[in-house]
Amino acid sequence: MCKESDHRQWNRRDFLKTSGLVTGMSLLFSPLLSARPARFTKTSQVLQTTDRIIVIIRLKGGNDGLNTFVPLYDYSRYKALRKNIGLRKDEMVRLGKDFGMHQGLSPLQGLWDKGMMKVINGVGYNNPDLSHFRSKEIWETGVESHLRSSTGWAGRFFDGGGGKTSEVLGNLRGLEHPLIIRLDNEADLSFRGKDGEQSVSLTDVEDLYRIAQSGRKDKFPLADNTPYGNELAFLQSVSGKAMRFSETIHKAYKKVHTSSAYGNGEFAERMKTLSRLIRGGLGTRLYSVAFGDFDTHAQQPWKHGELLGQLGKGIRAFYDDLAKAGMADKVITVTLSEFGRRAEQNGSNGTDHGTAAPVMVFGGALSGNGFLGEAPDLNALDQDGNLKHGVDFKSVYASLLWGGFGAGDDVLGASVGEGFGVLEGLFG
Amino acid sequence: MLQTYIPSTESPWTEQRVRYLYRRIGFGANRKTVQRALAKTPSVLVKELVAKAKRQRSLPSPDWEDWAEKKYIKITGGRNEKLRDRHLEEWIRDFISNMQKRGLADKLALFWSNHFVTSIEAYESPQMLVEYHKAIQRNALGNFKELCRKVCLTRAMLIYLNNNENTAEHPNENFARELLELFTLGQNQNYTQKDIQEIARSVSGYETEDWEPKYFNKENWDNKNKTIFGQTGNWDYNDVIDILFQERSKEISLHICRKIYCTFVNYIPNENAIQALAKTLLENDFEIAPVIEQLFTSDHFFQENNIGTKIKSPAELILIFANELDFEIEGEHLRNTYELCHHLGQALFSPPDVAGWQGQRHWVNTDKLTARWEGMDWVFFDFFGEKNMRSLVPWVKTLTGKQDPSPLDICYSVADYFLPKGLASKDEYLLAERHFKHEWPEDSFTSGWWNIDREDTEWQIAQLLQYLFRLPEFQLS
Repeated sequence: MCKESDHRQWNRRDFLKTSGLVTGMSLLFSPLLSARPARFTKTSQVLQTTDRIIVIIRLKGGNDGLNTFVPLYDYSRYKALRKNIGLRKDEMVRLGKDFGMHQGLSPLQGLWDKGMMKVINGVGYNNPDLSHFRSKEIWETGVESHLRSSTGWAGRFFDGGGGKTSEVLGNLRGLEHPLIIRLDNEADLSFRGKDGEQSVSLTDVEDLYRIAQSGRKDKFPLADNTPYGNELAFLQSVSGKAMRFSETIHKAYKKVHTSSAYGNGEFAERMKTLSRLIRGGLGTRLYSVAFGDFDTHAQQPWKHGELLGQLGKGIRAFYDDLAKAGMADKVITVTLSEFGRRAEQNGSNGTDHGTAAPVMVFGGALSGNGFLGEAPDLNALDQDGNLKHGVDFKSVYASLLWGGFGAGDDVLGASVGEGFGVLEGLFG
Repeated sequence: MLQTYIPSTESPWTEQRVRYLYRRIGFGANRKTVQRALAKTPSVLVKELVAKAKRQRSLPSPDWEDWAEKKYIKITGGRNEKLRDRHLEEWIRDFISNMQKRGLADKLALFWSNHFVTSIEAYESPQMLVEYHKAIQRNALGNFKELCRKVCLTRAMLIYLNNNENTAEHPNENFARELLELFTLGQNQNYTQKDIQEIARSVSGYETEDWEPKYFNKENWDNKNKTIFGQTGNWDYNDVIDILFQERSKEISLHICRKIYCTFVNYIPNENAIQALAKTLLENDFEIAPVIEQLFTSDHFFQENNIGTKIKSPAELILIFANELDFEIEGEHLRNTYELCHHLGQALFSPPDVAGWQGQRHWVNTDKLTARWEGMDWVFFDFFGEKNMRSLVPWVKTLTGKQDPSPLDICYSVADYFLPKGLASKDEYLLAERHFKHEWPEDSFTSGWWNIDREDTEWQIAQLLQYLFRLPEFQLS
């Protein structure tokens, strides 16, 4: 879509022409990197990344960023755009001088105060698509919005650098635990590599254990070297792996219990499971949890409040448990969503699909609390009334891979392409 | 190449081969059908199956087929999702029920919907789903060029690949690219980026608005000359299809036949076989039926080396078992079948991306495999039903051909029946027998007390089945 904004030098055709270039692109769209070249060459010498874990919380449906972090610096304009659904001052928790956090997330204030929470403002991408389906696909595949890919950003990271990823994460073959675990059974292209799906879906540890243990325990007969035999051998190996994984997962899960107050509901249960697996020493380094439905087209105040309430409680309890185990600086958690929502409310006390939105990042690995990126400008909306993005989401991925796994340029390039550097000021 | 299959001692026409044929050409068949088939020659059988499938066209129209979107809008505003779900469920039930009963016609329709991919998540409308399926079903065994022409202009496709946003002023190349890269030629097979651009310009002008019928807006159509594959003219959508099939017929025939081969015969392509099929497709002006007939009547298809090589898709896993155990999936179990397929990685009507389900090993990883075990337990105990379990006793008698089969007889017959190549050795059958006998005291067998007519023997058969579900062999056809 061509943008009419006269500030944009780049229309779509220009972008297509220059999309192979390294320099310049991220300077325009990622102002955080203003003084730095796009290719970021910091190595992992400072970070202890040998045992860090990344947790992705996917907020399904498009989380309304403006009501999650209310721009106090332009509060009157905000209230004008959201006559009914705009938050009152007593419905927010002040974070710094510029933003008020939705009170549903008030448990997170404890993390903020401990320097374990940051918010990256205005995360989005060029030529945004306002359909759930397509925008979700763009976020998951991690390529420019005019391109398609059958692999995902995380899948490509694990594919390589090939050997490079192994340098970073250690020996990835023959692991007794899954490489990536999704605590849901949703489709997610993020974890697809060149050989297919790399993540394992885990909804119930006990169920998995029970069903995997019901499989064949006797040794399999040796399969011969024919097409039939080869498929048999493959299936035999997956069968064995399923049994071993279920045992390792079950063992880690049973080692510890949760002691903090997660609240009720599916999200709480999933965060509890996550807490037990991590503190039980499972060894998996990347997890994903989907939570929603944040697609608040109508009756937003009640729905959004409910969801944020569960989100805040769950994340806070998760980090309380981790802190008790001395692991709070090892786990980096991020909340992502396929888009934010329209600046102006609609006629059903809700909001329609939008564009840029804030991303929350948690963990002791962060360099204190704070807001990164350009604060949303309610006076510079696009022709659809949507916020303009300042940070490309692929830079967020790059930052996670660097901060979580110490990944260097070469692997980052394979994952998110050239020109999306690590964000300054996120990690210590 | 691709001689007709004439049964021989190396390649006999047995129940094993007939079951294999039915599993590949459709969704399996019950014993009666298999035995009737044995009485025919393979060629006659296949020709009959293809002719029958050609006569079976699209499913009957639901009464909501022509509904406008406003009929789903509530008085209070917002869409009536419950109603939409109910309509989708109606269609899903018919769709799955027909897959089980009709075989080839629907198997091929499913294959084409995994080729000309769209996802209901993109277009949402039940009406568009029906329109898309009908376009596929009507042409699945017809002419490939016409199949392509019709399906690519359905609203589902226009929306999914954004051709409804493609205008002269702001071209969108998404559809043009996939038309060449996925639907006809294959990646990097004799086309240029310029061809894509020129095709995009030619197919511009189609618009959809909400769930209304599509329309062609001449104002938005690029009304100038374009050059595609060296041909210059003021081309429109139909011209594009004609030129594409005229200038690149060889590449198209190879690309399509390769996919057909790898899906229906062996995941490892055999170039000679593919070329022979492609030749047939070309010689028949892109008629699909002759290719299907040639493939399934070929000596090559029936070779030992191809039997058992396919990892069943979730739909095949469930429906083949239901047909072979001879029970009809009905009522709410039709929706359950859809849910189970979804759970196992095959969300019908919404493949994960435009390349479709990759199939074969992509169906299986540690969690999907265990989900299959659990899923088959569900299909057996719930869809077949505990209340029907006692009927397994006479069923097993017929299968073994004995009124008084031994446990080992039963294990041999049942394993050989459901598995493409049975088990690897006698030890494996003995292991199966252990599971069949599980928890029953050994002396009840050694003393001669036990026989199949004793109480609760159906639970032993159930145990055996559950053991087989968990074997690697069961995933293959």
